[in-house]
Amino acid sequence: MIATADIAQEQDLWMWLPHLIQVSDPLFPTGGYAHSLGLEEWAATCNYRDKQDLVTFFEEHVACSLTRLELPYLHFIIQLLGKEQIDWQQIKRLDSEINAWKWASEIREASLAQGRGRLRLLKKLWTNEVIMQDYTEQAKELGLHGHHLLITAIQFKILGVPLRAGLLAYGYQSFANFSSASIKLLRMSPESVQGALLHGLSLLPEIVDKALVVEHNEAGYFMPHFDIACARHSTAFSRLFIS
Amino acid sequence: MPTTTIAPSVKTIPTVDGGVFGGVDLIYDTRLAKGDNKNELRSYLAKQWVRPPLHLAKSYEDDQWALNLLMSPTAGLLAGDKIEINIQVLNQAKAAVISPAACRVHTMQNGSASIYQHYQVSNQSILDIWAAPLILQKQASLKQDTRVDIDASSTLFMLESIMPGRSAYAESFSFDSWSSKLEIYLDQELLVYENFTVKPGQGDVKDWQTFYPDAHYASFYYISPQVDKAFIAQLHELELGVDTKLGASLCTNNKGIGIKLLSRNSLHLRKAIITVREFFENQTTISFPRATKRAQTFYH
Repeated sequence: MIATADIAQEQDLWMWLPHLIQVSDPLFPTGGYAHSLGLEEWAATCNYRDKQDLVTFFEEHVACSLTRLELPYLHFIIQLLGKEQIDWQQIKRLDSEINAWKWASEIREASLAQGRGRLRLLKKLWTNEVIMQDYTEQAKELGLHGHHLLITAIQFKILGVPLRAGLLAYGYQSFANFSSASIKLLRMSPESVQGALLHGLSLLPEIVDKALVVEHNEAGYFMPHFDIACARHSTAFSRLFIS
Repeated sequence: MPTTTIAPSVKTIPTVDGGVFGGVDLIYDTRLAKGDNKNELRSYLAKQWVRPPLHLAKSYEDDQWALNLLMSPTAGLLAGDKIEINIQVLNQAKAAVISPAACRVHTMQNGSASIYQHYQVSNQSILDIWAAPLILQKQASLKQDTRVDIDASSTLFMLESIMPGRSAYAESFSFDSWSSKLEIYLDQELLVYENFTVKPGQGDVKDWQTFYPDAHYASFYYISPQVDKAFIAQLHELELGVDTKLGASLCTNNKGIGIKLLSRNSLHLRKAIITVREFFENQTTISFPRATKRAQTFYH
């Protein structure tokens, strides 16, 4: 028979989980719903129609970007935030790199907007966290951009989310955001979208495994056609999403 | 007249296994013209260091610009070759550095060639880097590392283009690896950062080939105090036909514009590049010398 104390200890170990679900849920208002993050123009350019198209997009774009670029940067920042003495200059460098590798202006602005939205809520809900006060001071002093990846890493530190769980959650949010946008962009039923999302999520464990071994000097990915589509969205004649 | 100290160029030649080390180290400055236009600033090549496999053709001056042709007489890079290009443009100088012949990155059994570039543009100066394409042959491996330091009063036009193989040999994306790192610092703040490795054998070119199986690629950066947001829509409206895709985007705080081009083949890419160049020549107040066009024989 399991002792009550053991159950309580087990629950304490997993207390980050409900909070992680809370901040990863679409109910958590970061403004992500307003962005397709390039999918709108890409779907139009490629004449996307159905679930298989979305699955292809997940495999050929989202998975690659997460593996080689986004999750490695999230990993680097989480590592820096995990140290006793946080090197904010290094964090500024990574935040600046994120700002500079987000080549299409709308994608860059979307990341900043989502970062601001998440930060605003974190400040309201976790008011007394030391890391929030540190961040506010350093952001002012060093002129941090506050990209979504950086604020997400701070959020994981506040909640005590283990590294791998954090990367999986960020990956889920990416796939879910594109899935949510695709409901409006493609002729897909909610069931089909869930099928595509399930496929995306099945890729996640391997994506995270690979992302965790990417070194800083090799983090990056080349998607010129997608970049072109993201850039052209800013002058599209009609559009549903901000990015 | 504003002045900037010109640091002496000191080079040490490292030993490179099985390859050659070469490059250029150029400093462009200004001086007052002689004769009737003696209040006019003329740009000139103030210092130079050149080592094969690069060759620097005699520089000439045209309409306040200094212009140089940079070529690789060996017609390409082999495994172990290392090229270093350092260019400084100072004191309101206007410099155009043109490479009018495509540079082949040859087939390699192992190893790779590398190109390191560092451009510094300061004090209301202009640098125009207009290179012919790099051709990534079968089993070629190339590492590029480019850094630009520019201040907010200066202007940069920088073009890079890549051909994914030799058309005559029906090569397409059979190179081994292309790594590129680009950092552009504006007033010491990171403005542009690209860092990637493309290995066709590992499935890295699916996006690149989405619309054209042999897509030729070009990247263009315009960094300037004169960036106009309206340029983006105008660039997107350029008539390039169905064989070219163009995307233009503003850099942070509207300090520059990045343009990416993908074309079905070399001919369409050349046409698109000329169209983009002409757009900037018409839209900015910068007067490009006629000699630039004449010198860039790859595109004209």
